[in-house]
Amino acid sequence: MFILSEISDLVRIPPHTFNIPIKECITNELSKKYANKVVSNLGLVVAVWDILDIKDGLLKPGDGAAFVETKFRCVVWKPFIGEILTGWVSECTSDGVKVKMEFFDEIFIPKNYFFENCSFRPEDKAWVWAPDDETELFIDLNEKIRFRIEEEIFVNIKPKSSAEAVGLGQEDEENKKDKIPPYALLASCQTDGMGCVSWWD
Amino acid sequence: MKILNPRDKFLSNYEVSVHLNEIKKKNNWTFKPDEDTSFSKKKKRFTACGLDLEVITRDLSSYLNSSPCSVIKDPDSFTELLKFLNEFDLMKIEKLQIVNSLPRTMVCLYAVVEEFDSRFDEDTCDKIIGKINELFPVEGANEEEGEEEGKFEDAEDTPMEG
Repeated sequence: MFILSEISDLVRIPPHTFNIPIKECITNELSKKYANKVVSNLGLVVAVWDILDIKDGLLKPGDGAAFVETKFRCVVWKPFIGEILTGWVSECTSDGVKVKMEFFDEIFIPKNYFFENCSFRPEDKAWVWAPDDETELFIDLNEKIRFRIEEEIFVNIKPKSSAEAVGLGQEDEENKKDKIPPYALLASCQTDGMGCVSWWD
Repeated sequence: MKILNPRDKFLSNYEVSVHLNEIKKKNNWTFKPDEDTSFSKKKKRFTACGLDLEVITRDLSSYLNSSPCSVIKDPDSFTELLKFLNEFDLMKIEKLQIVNSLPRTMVCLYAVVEEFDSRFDEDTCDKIIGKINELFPVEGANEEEGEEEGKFEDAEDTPMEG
């Protein structure tokens, strides 16, 4: 679910953008800072919605830029506990199922949050739900799955080095894998209508 | 940075996708070769607002386009559905979830609305699903198409990011 959040921030407007209208310039600077980023305890910021207030610009000695205090609203993606969402299965392990939603990948369904009579089958690399003795329903990779949000986990992540802090850090594959996501969701599949979308059509 | 109000208002998926389309249009962005290129041919892509906004706009609009709410094409039918839902004693977030997921079966509706069977009768359920089907008719083939599109996108995206 998407919400509108009201935020105030001091925006640095670089001198080379002084010629474009202030509103557009501030929107651009805010987009650079916030778009596609997780704000701790707020959610995943998508885009700036509108600008509510622009104060007079301030100057700092030794810097040609203007600093403007702004109040704005932005679109934030933050599902509430109990929300029903759909995504695609990206990984099946004995611990549970990982779900991706194209723009957000850190959703995990742990094994104890599944239906009763659910088991992991290592030979198929899939989770199997047996609602009764005769039927077997598979949760396979890339299957469209419906789930309920149970818990949200925000982790405050600090840069490891000063180079990383200014965005110069080398991001290789291994580094990426070890990183803890700043925002992760735990989901469940326990009630009617949950699980693969195709089961219920 | 100071968060003044973490939750000023709720937004439905439809409103977000309209907003994203405005951003795309303003910046002349297209993410698929077969997309409507009437506006992008003449002018160049604007990139002043950064790569991150472009990435999230691409990913989120592709997700929203394959989600059920993509059948909402104009604000009129959207408001009509909301007005219809206002007749019932539904919570705000329940209405929002109905508008976002447009349930077409009883199971889906029961999943979205808590304790539906004790709060409403089956007639209400039929009425809501009937109204959704009336306002946003869907052909059987549509769903499959949507899914395939999503997969095609995934395959396309990988080389771009690397």
